[in-house]
Amino acid sequence: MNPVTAGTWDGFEGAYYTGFGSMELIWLLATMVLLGIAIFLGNKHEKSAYDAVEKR
Amino acid sequence: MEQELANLAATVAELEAKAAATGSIFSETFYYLTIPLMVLIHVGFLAYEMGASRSKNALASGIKNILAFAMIVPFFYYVGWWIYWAFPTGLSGAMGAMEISGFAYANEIASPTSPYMGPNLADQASGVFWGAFVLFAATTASILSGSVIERIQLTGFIVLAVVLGAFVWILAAAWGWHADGWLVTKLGYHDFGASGVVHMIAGFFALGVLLNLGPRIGKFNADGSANQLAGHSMPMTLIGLMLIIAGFWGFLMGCVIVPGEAWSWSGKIETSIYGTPMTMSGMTFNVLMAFAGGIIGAWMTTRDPFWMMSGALGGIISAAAGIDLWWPPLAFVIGFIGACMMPFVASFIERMKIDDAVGAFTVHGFLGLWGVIAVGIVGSGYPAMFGDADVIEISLMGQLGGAAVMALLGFVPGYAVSFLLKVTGMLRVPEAAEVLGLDLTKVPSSAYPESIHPSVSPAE
Repeated sequence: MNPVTAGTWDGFEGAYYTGFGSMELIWLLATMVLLGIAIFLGNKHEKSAYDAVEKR
Repeated sequence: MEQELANLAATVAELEAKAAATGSIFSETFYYLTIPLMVLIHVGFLAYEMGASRSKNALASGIKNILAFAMIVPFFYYVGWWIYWAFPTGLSGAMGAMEISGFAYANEIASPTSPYMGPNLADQASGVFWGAFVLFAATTASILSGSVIERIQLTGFIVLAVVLGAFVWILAAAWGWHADGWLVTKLGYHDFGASGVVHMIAGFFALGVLLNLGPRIGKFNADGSANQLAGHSMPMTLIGLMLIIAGFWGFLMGCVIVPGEAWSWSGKIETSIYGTPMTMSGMTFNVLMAFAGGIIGAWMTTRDPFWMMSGALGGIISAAAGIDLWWPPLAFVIGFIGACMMPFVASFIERMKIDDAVGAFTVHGFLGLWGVIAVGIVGSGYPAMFGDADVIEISLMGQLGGAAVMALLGFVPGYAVSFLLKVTGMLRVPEAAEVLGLDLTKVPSSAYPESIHPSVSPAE
């Protein structure tokens, strides 16, 4: 998961974040999926709240 | 020609002196500015805890925050700063490999009688570093403060705040937040933004105190079910939480070691407190992504603005230990997961009959734990310190070991000291005072003299 594989930071240059070069797309997609789920459930919650008011 | 060379050398020397002076003033100003930014944390805690209290206790809660901050300052001067430099290698007081620790070193630079502990023209660093650490210390006390509102005695709380802020957390920082710290050198423990050494310590300390303090009157019914003792001003609480988050930028800024000074780890780039390279630019991506993930995760699981703002804080705390390392979308995911877990942990604590008034254990203790472990899960393999070769690496086992130390180092003193206070009658206010309200009983003043916010809770 990390690009600093030489056992030392000495001489290391450039991007050093977790998953550099291999995992970016996975984590990027994960954020999109979580956002999609959150918005979908948010919409469902909101709709059921409005429906409950109308039924009163 | 010789004269020209001499002039050139003099010019170069003059420029070097100017560059050095500029660098020193920059670093001094850098840490100086972390202090007012971190004061925002305490502005936030003040508003947050007063808003989370019923109106009859609002000022008493505020006094607790104000006084805890003030009390920690002298005690941190007397002993806290000395502890940080004396004990990194353990309780023996031996000097570590970096030669910036141990009794002799601490006596020289951090004893209250040291010439570095006051105005000194040869030292532009000690005061601003000390000040930043005082604010970290005050943050731990403020974390405790919220959990115990509306029923703790002020003097008992001050004792607990001083123990936590000037002794306990700073010992944790010496062990796990110092380049000679034994958790770092032996286990490869990594905790850049203090998920463990500040948040876990304070959260677990609060848990120990809550067990002895007991719940507020009216919190639990005879059948074991819980009542919600709503605070008198949710808007004040929400603004307070946002101010804490604003202050967190100063907190994280204070975790960075600037380059180019005699005490810096690097001549050209920022580093963590362990000497590992990082950039504030990279950290910026991660703070904002974790903040967003925390809010959205909490919104998804609760729909409650209190938990959404706590989620913002929780998202940053979840990502803080590795906030120098994360790929920003990963910081979002870590913050999101932490915030999603938060309400379930709070419910579990409540089912255990523990009245944590603002969820301090959940947000700081539990999510601090999650943050430390997250580094072990997805951040393993990075060199944990600077050095030429074969430096100890971050590992899951190392992070778990560090987390266990933080949990115990927080919980045991919290439980033990609060037990002593309970035995000596200094922990909890009398029942009559709690029912009447602490503002009228002892402040003595009223937050809302025209009674625009009467309390309507089971404890009335």
